[in-house]
Amino acid sequence: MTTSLPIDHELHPAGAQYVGAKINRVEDPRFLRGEGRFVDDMSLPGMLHAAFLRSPVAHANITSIDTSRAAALPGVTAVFTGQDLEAEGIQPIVSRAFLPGMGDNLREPLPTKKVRYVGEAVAVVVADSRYIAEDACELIDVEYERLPAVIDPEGALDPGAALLHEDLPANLIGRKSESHGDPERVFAEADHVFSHRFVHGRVAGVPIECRGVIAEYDRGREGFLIYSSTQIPHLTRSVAAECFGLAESDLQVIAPDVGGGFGIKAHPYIEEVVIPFAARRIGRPVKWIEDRYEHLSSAVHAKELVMDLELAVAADGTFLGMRGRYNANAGAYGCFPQTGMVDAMCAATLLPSLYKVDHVSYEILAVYTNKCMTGTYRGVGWGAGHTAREVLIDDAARALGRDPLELRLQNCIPSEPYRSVVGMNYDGGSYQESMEQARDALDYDALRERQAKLREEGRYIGVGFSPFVEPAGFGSKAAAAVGQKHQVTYDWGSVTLEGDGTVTVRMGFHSHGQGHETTFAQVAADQLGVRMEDVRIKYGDTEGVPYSTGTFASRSGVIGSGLIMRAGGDVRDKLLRLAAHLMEVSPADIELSGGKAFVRGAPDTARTIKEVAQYAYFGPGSRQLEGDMALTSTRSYDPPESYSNGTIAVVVEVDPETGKVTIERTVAIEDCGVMLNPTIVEGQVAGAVAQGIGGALYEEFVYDDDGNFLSGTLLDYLLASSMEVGPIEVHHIETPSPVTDGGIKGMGEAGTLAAPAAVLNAVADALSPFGVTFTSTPITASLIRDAVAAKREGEQ
Amino acid sequence: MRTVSLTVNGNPVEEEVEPRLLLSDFLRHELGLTGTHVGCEQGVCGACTVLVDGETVRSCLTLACQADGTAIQTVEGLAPNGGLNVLQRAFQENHGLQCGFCTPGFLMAATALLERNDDPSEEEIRDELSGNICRCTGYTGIVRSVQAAALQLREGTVTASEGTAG
Amino acid sequence: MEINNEFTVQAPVSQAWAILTDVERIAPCIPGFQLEEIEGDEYRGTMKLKIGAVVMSYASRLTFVEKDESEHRVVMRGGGREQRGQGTVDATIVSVLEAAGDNETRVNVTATLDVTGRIAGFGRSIMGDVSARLIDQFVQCLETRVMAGSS
Repeated sequence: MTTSLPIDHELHPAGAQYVGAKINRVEDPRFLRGEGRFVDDMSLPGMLHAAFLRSPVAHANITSIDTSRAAALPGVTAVFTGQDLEAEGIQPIVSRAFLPGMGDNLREPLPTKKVRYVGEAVAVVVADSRYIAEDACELIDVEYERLPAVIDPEGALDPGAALLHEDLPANLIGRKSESHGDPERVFAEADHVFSHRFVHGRVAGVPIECRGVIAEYDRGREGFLIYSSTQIPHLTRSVAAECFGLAESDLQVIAPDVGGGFGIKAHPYIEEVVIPFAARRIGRPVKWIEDRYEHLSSAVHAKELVMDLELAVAADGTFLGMRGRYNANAGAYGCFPQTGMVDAMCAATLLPSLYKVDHVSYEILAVYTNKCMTGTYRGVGWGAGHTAREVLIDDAARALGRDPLELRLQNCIPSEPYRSVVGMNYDGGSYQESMEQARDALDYDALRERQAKLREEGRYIGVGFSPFVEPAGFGSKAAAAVGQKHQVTYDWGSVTLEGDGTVTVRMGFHSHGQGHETTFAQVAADQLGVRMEDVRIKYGDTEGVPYSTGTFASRSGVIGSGLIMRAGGDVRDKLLRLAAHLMEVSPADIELSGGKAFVRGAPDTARTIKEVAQYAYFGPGSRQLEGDMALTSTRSYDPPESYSNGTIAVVVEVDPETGKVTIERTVAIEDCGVMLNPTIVEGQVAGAVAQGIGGALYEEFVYDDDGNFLSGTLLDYLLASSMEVGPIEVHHIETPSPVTDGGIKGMGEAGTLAAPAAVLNAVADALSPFGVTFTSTPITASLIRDAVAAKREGEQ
Repeated sequence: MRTVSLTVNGNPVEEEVEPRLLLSDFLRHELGLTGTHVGCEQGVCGACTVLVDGETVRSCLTLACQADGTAIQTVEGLAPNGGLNVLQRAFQENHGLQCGFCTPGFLMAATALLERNDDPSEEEIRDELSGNICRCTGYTGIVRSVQAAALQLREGTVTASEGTAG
Repeated sequence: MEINNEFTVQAPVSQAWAILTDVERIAPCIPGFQLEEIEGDEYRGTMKLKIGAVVMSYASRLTFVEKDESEHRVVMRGGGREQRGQGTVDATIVSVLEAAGDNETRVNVTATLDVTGRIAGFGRSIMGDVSARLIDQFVQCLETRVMAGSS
């Protein structure tokens, strides 16, 4: 008997009841009871503790390191420097070039010759306790021969600038230009050209759990067990294996519960090589938990860009062309796997966003400077570029005397799938509708009236709109669309029906807040007709789950669901045939739902899926199947480009005397295609918006001209609290993607990507009577106050 | 070394500690109560918040020996029988957590708030919890969770023993 | 980084000059400084600095680069290295004395600092405040202990 059932790629097979429902998260109880297991919660027998000595100088040759006083401190087991790693042939982490003229960037796990930023690890101490290890760090004597620090990205390529990497001809990471249409002509002919230089502040994800590593070496099997607080256990394994010259499966990398990532934990780090090295040398497990100073100074930063943007506009307000130059201040090293080009490249390729412009050109470059290396942070360079563009559009609207929302609607692309001039294939959405819905949610006309009234009372409220497209579901095609062709993604997952009728999903997508144990259980339960509580989602352990590039770039929802639909569909096919055999009917007549298999229309015929599974495992069932008998399937999925969209609108009140901004209201319209669980979507939107508000108003990593790092505590790098963020309303539009499995689009970054522009535009709108505009982030209270004061002085 | 004697979640504890040992490290590494998390050791993020004699205290800025003679409550003491108390349940029902790392600190801060005031306004909740940083939720779900728990406490749908004190 | 401070002492310029260029005499008045040895024109000692809860101790040295009595201008170069930890301070200090009255001298001090390590993380504004406070303490000590004894 052969049957062919149309089961692949179906999100809602007959009997489905979970996908799309607001379901409370199944992972919550363990966190609520304090029973999550984060890296620092773990302890291995005989474990020692490590602390890193970090560079206090931005740029210097290391002339000598004397570890003798540190090594002599009671309780210290060992002190290692770059020389020790080099002597054992530990290879550098390589960030590979992918453009003509670009060089590979090699980073030694611990530097042997030079330090290139404040916070760079120079030596590691291993001791009985962290307290002793830190004491010993203070006893290491390092002689530095100071070199001039390169801090300003615009000066980094000057012939006289100090060179960070002697194996490269200049401090250039990479450069690329593209032109589409005929921008020269439209800019020459345009009635209006608006331009500005926008400097986006240096920010980062700053999860509340810092990073951490525990490593143990198995001398007999010559392999490592590594626990790490990472979003990407498989990539971490790849890089560490390469550094040690081992086969990938000689290393087992486990990312246990991870306390937030936001992109900062989506890179392999030197500590994931140095701590295993120490464990191997000493022969005991070693733990290192990053402290907050280490995190702020040496985990990746992001989004520091100098952007020169131009917008050509016709007399009637039609956008004719856009030009951009993006210079990324990318810090001291290339980040694996994206390289320091990631922010500039992402910012540039999304330049046209949801506007219908046919003439676009851009130049991208990224430079090495004596700051912490940059990498990914939620929304990446898309967000920085978005902020620069949307602020310029508001400036243009004011100059043209146009309503900012009307001007955007006039230039917005249609809802149907659309290929942007730079070659992005938008899969359709609600580009205009989301703006209209935001306008209606705000009761826009009434808001403008209230604004006018309040101004008469000397109070300044303002509204800012920020409509967005978010490249999401990041597979290899989306990577190529944003200029990251080199960033190959690869993900598989498996679905297994166990002998007790429960279902196990194994995937490499780590969950660190996204709620995979819930959403993927919803998808799997619907695929196999089991109850959600009978599904387990396994992730995080490279020995236990198939390969995945990891959780970042809004990719897990789309790709993970696609994997489960595909693999689950295979298992469903077998389950139906087993049930049919057991019940002596045709598979086509069977429905699976609520943990039962029954003949369609005759629920009293039901057998539990547990019974069917037992029939397969312990009865003759599986031997009755034709072809392969395994009740498991492993499938891969590399989705086409897909793009979420929406609009964020913010209403603020600004005190022009103090510069204080109070966020009165935030409305987020989110269209991420078919939703797996609206509760999760709303949580992702709200969290991302809060980070966007933080980046707009408070957050910035500051270096002085000598490269000293001035943001080493959370009193310097300010994270928004419940008081600053204010209420966030989330509204949904659901435009299924015509190209992805199940019509799902990735989501989660848009709030961070788009909220800053809404905030800046709202503040500028509030202060429009003063003529204040902004060309940088963050717009701190003092910056706003000074800007108002400068305008007032200018009038006098 | 100094001897400290105190109660933690109602259980008497007597230990020898180094004078410089932080209360957070004492709870986590000496007593194995790893539910209290350390986010910054700078007194800013609030993840390490515990209740000392009923008051919220940042355990990363407190020395273990300062806690001598006190009664400490940690997240593990909220629902000692393995279930969830009304506040914890409200967090699950209102998506008050994502990665779960800051959550114990928020639960302890909210517990102290609800002990004092079972009808806090949204503004009061936001103000009271502003000493705790969450990087995932945007606070929307957390504020809603505390409101929901307060409502249940006021309506008496839970008994005092099931209440926030666990 | 450049930090500028100004103070006045109740003494004629010539007397102020003599005192302020005599490291051994003024050393006890430099807050947190302990002079330990003198070799040629290099003065060595320990400088303890407290900012908030953070205490740093520097192994320090100081030399005169220029001593122009006619212009009442003195240039010193100093440096320090944290004894525990990795921070450093290098400073070029230019002091100019000027009569501000019969028995009053105004001293203008411009310090060009190259600071690394923990103290650098505090940023320019705090370092400005701290140096102003240290100079206040210095002047007060100078007037009550050194000047009083020398007049």
